[in-house]
Amino acid sequence: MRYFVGHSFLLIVGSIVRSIALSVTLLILSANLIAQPQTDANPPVSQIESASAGNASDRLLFTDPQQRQRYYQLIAELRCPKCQNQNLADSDAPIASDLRKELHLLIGEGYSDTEILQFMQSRYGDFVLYSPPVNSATAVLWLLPAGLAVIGGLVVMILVFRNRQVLETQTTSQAVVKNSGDQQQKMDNLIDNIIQNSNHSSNNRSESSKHDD
Amino acid sequence: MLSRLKLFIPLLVFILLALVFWSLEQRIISGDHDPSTLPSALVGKAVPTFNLSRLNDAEEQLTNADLNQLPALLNVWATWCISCRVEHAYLNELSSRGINVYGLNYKDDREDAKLWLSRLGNPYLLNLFDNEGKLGLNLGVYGAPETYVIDSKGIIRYRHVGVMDEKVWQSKIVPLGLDWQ
Repeated sequence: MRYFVGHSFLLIVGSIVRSIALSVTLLILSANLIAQPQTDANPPVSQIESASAGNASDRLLFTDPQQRQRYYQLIAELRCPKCQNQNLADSDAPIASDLRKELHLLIGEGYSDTEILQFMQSRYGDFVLYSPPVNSATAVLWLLPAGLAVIGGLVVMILVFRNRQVLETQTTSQAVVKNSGDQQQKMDNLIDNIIQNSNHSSNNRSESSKHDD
Repeated sequence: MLSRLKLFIPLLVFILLALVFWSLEQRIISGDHDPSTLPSALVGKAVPTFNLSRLNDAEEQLTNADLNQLPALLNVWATWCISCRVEHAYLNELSSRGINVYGLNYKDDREDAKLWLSRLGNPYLLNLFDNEGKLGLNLGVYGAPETYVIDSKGIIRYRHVGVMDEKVWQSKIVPLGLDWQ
């Protein structure tokens, strides 16, 4: 009895704690949503702030929003040659800062995205592109995943096919066993009949011989 | 019997892979191999066009024509680079052997660099002052020290990332077969 009382007590306490935690979480989330930072208090200043791009230390200015967009895209696509698991957007390395400035310059001078990527590639190699080029050297890199998937699929198909064949032979041999069992039963029945019939006829003969005295 | 042997295939594959990774790790530990070094995109190409002042003379402008004693090493260095201090003694030795060594002072302060050289010795035939890193960018420099090997036709044949020492000289540069004398 005490055990059950304790158990339900824990359940009640648990649900109270959960509801408190949920309401606190909701409060915090809604507070974040409600309290927006005031960006348009002083229009000219905020324009400059929204025009600058990259890390705060770069102070790179883009007046054209399209250029800024291209810049953001490019610094996400290019790998930092020094901190090789970061893109130019994330890296704090000096070379990343230099390359961001160079991007700013090239975009301002009117180079296209393709030309800019080529510029980086011809100086820092294919590795600086997050998406490696498709050529004979990188063919293995591009084709291997799909190739392995195809091979894996083939192996699965072959195994399934073999299993199905094994299953079929098993069911046929089971059927053969079952059939021969039926036949065995029939034969047993026939033999029983014969024995019964012969018993009857032998009984009849013995009775008739008794009368002949 | 044969089907039993097939069960050992995964183990064999594992052992094979383990051997491969172990030997690779040994090479990394011994310093023969650094998987993070980038191969230079400039191998087989000429030194990019530049116009930089001489380290020792801010008035004098140097261009590609001034790198005329070939074959040569072009060593990228700076005073803020600690490994450059480590390799400097070896560069002095190479220079005393008669090897042509040019310097690219990369993103550095002119006076600091001049002082550094006066203290540690100057193996360089001349030093290009690239404080903005312009030639560095065109070369694909991503840190210091780096050493470019330029052949007698002015073509870059190899880029070494990191400290230059006798081991690198013998294993990576001598095999290029350039006529250093």
